[in-house]
Order: sequence, then structure tokens, then C-alpha cells
Amino acid sequence: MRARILPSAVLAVCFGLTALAVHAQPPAPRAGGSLRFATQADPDGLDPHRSPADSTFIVAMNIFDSLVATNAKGELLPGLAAKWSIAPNGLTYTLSLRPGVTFHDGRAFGAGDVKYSLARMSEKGKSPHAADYEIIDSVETPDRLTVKVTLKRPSARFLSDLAYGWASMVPEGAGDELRRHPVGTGPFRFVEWVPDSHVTLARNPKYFVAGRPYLDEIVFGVVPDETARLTSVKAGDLDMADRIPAQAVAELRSAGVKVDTFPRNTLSEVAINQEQKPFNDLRVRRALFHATDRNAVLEGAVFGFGRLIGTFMPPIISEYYLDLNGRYPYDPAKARQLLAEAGYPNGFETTLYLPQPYAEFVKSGEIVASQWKKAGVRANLVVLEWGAWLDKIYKKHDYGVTVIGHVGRLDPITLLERFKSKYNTNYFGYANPAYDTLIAEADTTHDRARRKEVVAKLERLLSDDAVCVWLFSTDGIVASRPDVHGYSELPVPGNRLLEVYRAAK
Amino acid sequence: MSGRYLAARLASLLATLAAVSVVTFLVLRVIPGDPAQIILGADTPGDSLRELQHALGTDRPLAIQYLAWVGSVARGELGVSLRHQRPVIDLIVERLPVTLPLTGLALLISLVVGLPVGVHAARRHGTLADYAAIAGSQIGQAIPSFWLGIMLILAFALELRWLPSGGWVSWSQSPWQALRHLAMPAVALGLVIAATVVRMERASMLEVLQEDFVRTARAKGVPEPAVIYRHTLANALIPTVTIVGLQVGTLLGGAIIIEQIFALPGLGRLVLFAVFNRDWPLIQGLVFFIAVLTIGLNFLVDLSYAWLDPRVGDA
Repeated sequence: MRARILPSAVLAVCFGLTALAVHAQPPAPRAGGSLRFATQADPDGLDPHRSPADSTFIVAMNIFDSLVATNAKGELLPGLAAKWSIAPNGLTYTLSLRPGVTFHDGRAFGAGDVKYSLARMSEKGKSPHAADYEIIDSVETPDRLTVKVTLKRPSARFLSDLAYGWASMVPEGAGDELRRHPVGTGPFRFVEWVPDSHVTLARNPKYFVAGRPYLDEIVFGVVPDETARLTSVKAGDLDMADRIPAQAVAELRSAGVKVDTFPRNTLSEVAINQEQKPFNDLRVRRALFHATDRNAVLEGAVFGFGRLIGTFMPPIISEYYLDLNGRYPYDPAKARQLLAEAGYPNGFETTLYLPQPYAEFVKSGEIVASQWKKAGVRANLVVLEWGAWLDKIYKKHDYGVTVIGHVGRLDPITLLERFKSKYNTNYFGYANPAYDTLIAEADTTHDRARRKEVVAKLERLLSDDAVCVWLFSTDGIVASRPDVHGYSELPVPGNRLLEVYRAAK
Repeated sequence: MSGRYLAARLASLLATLAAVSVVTFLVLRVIPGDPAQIILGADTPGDSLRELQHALGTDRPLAIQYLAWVGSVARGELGVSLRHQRPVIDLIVERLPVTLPLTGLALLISLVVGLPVGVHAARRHGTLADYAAIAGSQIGQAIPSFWLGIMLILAFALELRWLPSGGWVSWSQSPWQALRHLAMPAVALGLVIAATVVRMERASMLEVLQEDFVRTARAKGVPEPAVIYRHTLANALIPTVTIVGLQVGTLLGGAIIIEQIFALPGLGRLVLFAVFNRDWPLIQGLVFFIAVLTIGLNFLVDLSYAWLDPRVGDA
């Protein structure tokens, strides 16, 4: 970093204002203009309660609002609920709604819409996130701007569960047509969707945040091919693209494209199936950790655009993140010793499954496999197409080791409960009664200091038991025309372009 | 052309379609992958899977699922997509204004380029022009259309900036823009097929040029252009028509990749989406549709023989 700042300071002196402008504050926000944003996949429908896909929320979070909002740090902020209070028993939440909010079709937003939306989010078999809201016992609407939600049991994460795109507020009575004709209260209103081509949104002039949004129009262009997506930004056919592969950064910058990076709420790891031999032996799992040079993986797989993690918690969740990276330093000799103790003096042979089309995980796996050889672990690589990976590994737990990533959540328990012994998608086969007890405690503890302690214990357990070889949390890389400013990433699936503007040319 | 010939062709057509639908259905269920699990991905709460399978109807017995699909075909829906929750036929019809002009243009380009080159090479048999045509078509056949597509993007979109790098503008919005967006993909797809047309046309022209009636025509003093275009070309077209008819599969297959590279919202993209998401009814409907299209076109090709060469229909 220092090496980069020094030459620019010299340049600034040499070229005066011209060079200074490069490192100065971004230009003042300006209203107006249009943005063509390249996305990888066509939305899986625009109904926020009927899709679990990122492709939906990248668009839909601009059309809808949730009761609770969040920012780049993952803090919970007033959204359509201006304020809230939690009863001392931790069961009843009283939400005061923001007055004067209207849907894009002109109808006023009120308590009835909240009650309807909460019910719609909880519909089993229809809402992929129904399980998150199964905890709601009843919803009352004492007046037009007040909603009382009573839970079946206390939950410290309930408020954060109201801050995601899939907790969007939709108009009372809205049915299946939301999938193709979404109506929300958000900063942009829906104009048209041509499947596999583009979605167009226009500015909502009545948005409840004064002066926002800045853009008059957003066009989400669907460009599935990576090369084509990069080319469209370079050629200026599209103004902005996210999920830029790390290897394209230098090339884009030299073509005059602005490239920014943001920490993301993601985690990747070498998942280990502890129900399978030899991985049920803690010494073997620790050996795999010692045999992995994670810095080299980070560098090789994503050109260093990310940060190492030592447990299942990304650094972006700063309140709960523990730096446990020093626990298992890269040490092939130590790995061999541990394997010998476990009864594998000559190492062993195994299969490392890698999911297509996720290049980051496939590359990570190739590097990991070559590193493991030094410790005597001979991993044969098998690449599985995504649907097949989900079937074999995630659903049937039929594997030993695989490289995979997960998307983080705002609340630490939503992440950490994957490792509960009775959890359906605990494909790691990790079962530790102490862990289960701590999860239950953290889930119901509203006291932040106490909760932090418990979460720290959970994080340490996942590290001590070497449940996975934790790899890293990658950065989001975003490319745009030089006049696009104000973008940031939220630590939730999807995105909002509320603050994005085009500077005067 | 006899009615019996027509009836026999139609019967084999229907039998093929029935076989295609059963095989597709069974193969899909054997391939690993659960559409409900793919919808949920690896980041949604664990206990929703069974409920979603039930809501989608993928937990029903296979025979029931197949019969449901057959019923849907009878209603003209071709099934209901699991992901889009809409009749497959609607999804297909939406995509046709992209894929039909794309493949049509590609076919046109392949004929406009392929036929004259093939005829010319045959006339100049053994000369440098002939060898150049052979070499060119050899290279054309070897080049994958996706690579050609990327090269075209680099040249015409990134360097020269004449054409858009990808994307789509509908015909109703601007026919000119729609055509501009189809130009590069159609060339990328068409040139590869043109190479096949050149080889086929050249070979069959050479064969026909050896025939007695050509020698007779020349001996009678018929002008050479008339010999080539009236007597030889008409007869040399039969094998070429066959090949072009068979290329429909290649064209649609090529469209899958080309539409992906040029971000065109066509049938090919829908096929890829359906396969990756294990949207069984959608794949089933698409394969059925493409089979109908291919078989239908082959049927027309067969009929065209009878027209080009009356001896075929009487046999």
C-alpha cells in the first residue's frame, strides 16, 4: 500500500491539481442520469418472497424496502419502521411505521401491508425463507402505523431477519403477479423486464428519503458470459458491473475503467465431512489445516483480493469477528507428524470435490491439493457441476472434502447454527453438544456483551475442532465508468443503488 | 408424390416424437440434481426442501409426473416451468423473435457465402482458387463459433466500435437496432456452416459435372453459364439441401453458445437455464419443441427431394 501512495504523492507535486484530483474526494453528488448495470443472471422472478436468488435481490432491493434497513457495516437502521421497542420478556416487538410512505401505484403504506407481507414471507413451500419467520406467533395492528409482532420464543436475531431483501414489504393483497410486475415503496419503480435481456427501473420521485435516489433510471442488463460482461464495460455499452474476476482488474484499469473493491459478507472453506474416515479424527483435520498455505491460496485463487478467516465469521461482521488466523500455521512437517499419530504415516488418498462454475473455489482446490501432497495427502480432483454438487454433497453428504463458500448473514447465529448437530444442512457432520448448548444461549440472549462472549466461544470451538480448513472472505470487485460514484456493498444478498450518481462530465 | 409416401413419413415422425419425450424424461431423472435443492442453493434455511419439493410436485411418482406433462402437451402448454411458473410454450414463444431470425440469418449467410464459393471451386477444379476454397472451408469447419464470436466482438465492438458488443433491442422498439445486435452472432454462426456448404456443394458439383448430360449439353454448344447454373447446379443442390436441413440441429446447438456470448435472450439461453436449474418440464418442453422443429424440417427436406427429383416420391 505504502509503495502505491508514495509515487502518487510525487505525481501530485509534479502535476499539481491534475494528479490531486485523482486522489481527491469524489465529486459532489448530482441528480439525474441513467445507469446500465451488468448482471450475471436473469432475475429468478422479482417477487422478493418467492426467490432465494441473488439475481432477484440485485434488482428487487431497489424496488422494495424492508422494515429494518442496514448499511455497509451491517448495523440495523430504521427502514419502513421508523422505530421499534422490544418488551422485557423479549417476545413482543412494537414497530412504529414511517408515516406518509406510498407504494409505486399510489396506495398508502400501512400496518395492513406489514401484516400481509409477514404472513406471505412465512408461507411454507412458497417462501424459501419461511423457516426464518416460523418463529412469529401473531401479528397485531392496533392502528394504521403500529404493528405488534409476538414471537413464540425469544430470538436475538429477529430484527436482523427483517432487514433482508426477502423481508420486503409488499402491498396488501399482492399475489403472484409480483413475480413479473413488482410494486414496492423503494427508491425505484419497476418499468419493464425483458427476460434474459434487461430490467428497467425508473426513479421514484416520492421516495421517503429526501433527495434520493440520484439516478433517473437503472437498466440491469443480463450478460451471462464473463468475457462479454467485461467487454461490454470496456466498450462503454454498459456502465457498471459487479463480481469482476480478480484476474481482470489490471486489464480493466489499463483500459480506463474504474475498479473498486469492497469487503463482502462471504466465507470460503475446505469443508470436511467428519462422519467419514479418516476425517472423523481431529488430528487428521488439524493436519489438513497445517498442510494448507492459505496465503498462497488467497494469492493464487483471487490475487489477494480478500482476507483470511480463522473460523466461520467474516471480518465484515466486525462486532463478532475473532481473528483466529494464527491457530494452525502452514507447517507440512507438523501435518505429517499429526497424520502419523493418527495412524497414517504415509498419508492417504482422497477425493477433493470442486463446484463448477465457481472458478474461485475450483482454483482454490487445485492449489490446496498441490499443497497437501507435501504432507502426504494425495487428493484427486473431481469437478462437479453445481446441481450435481448440491445433490451429492449438500443434500446427501456423500463426500470427504470439498471447497465451497457461503454467504454471510447480519446475525452471527444464522451463520454459526449451520454447525448445530441437528441442523438439516449441517453437511459437515459436526456434532458437539457443547456447541449446541452455546448456540441456544446466543440465540436467545439480548444482552450484547454476554452474547458476544458466547459467540466468541462458538467461534473458538469451530477453530479448535478444525471443523473446516477456513480459507478467506473475498472482496467484491466492481468495475464502472469513471463518472460513476457513491456505490457501496451491503453485507446482505442483493444490492441497493440508492446513493449512486453520475458526476458531471 | 404419393399419399402413401406422405403417410409413412408422418407416422415415423410421430413415433420419433413419442420416443424423444420418453427418453428425455427418463434421462433427466437419472442425471444427479434436484430442482428444489438448486432453487434453495446452499444458503437457505435447511428445512424448506421437502415443502418446496411438494409445492413443485417433484415428489410425485415418476409416472404421474410424466402423465401430467403429456396432459400439458395436449393442452398446448408443453409443460409448466418449475422456475418460471409459466407454461413452457409461452416462454418459447417469447424467445422466438430472437432465435428464429438469428438462425435464419445464419443459414442465409451460410448459403450466400457457401454456394458461390462451392460452385466456383468446382468450376476451377485443381486450381489455386479451388485449393484456397478447400483450405478456407477446412479452417471454417475447425473454428468454434464461440471463438469466432469473441474475435468479432474484439474487432467490431471494442476496436472499431461499429456494432454493440452484445445485448438485445426488440424488433418492435427498433428493427434496425435488432438487426445490428444480430449481425455479429449471425455471422459467427453462419460462417461455420458456410464451410460445410462449400465442401458439400463443391463435391456434388464435381460429381454432376462428370455426368453424361453435362457433356452432351456442352457438346451441343450450350453456353457455359447455362451449363453450370441450369443443368449442373439444380442437380447438385440435392445433397446440399440435405446437409443444410441436417444443420438445423447444429444451428440451434450453436445458438445456445452464441446467445450466451452475445447476451441474446433467445431459446439457447433458455435451454442452458433449464439444464443448469434442472427445470425438468422446461427442458422436456424445449427438447420436444426442438425435436418437432428438427423433424419437421427434415420432413420438409424429404418432401423437397421429391420436388427436386420426382423419382424419389414415386419409389
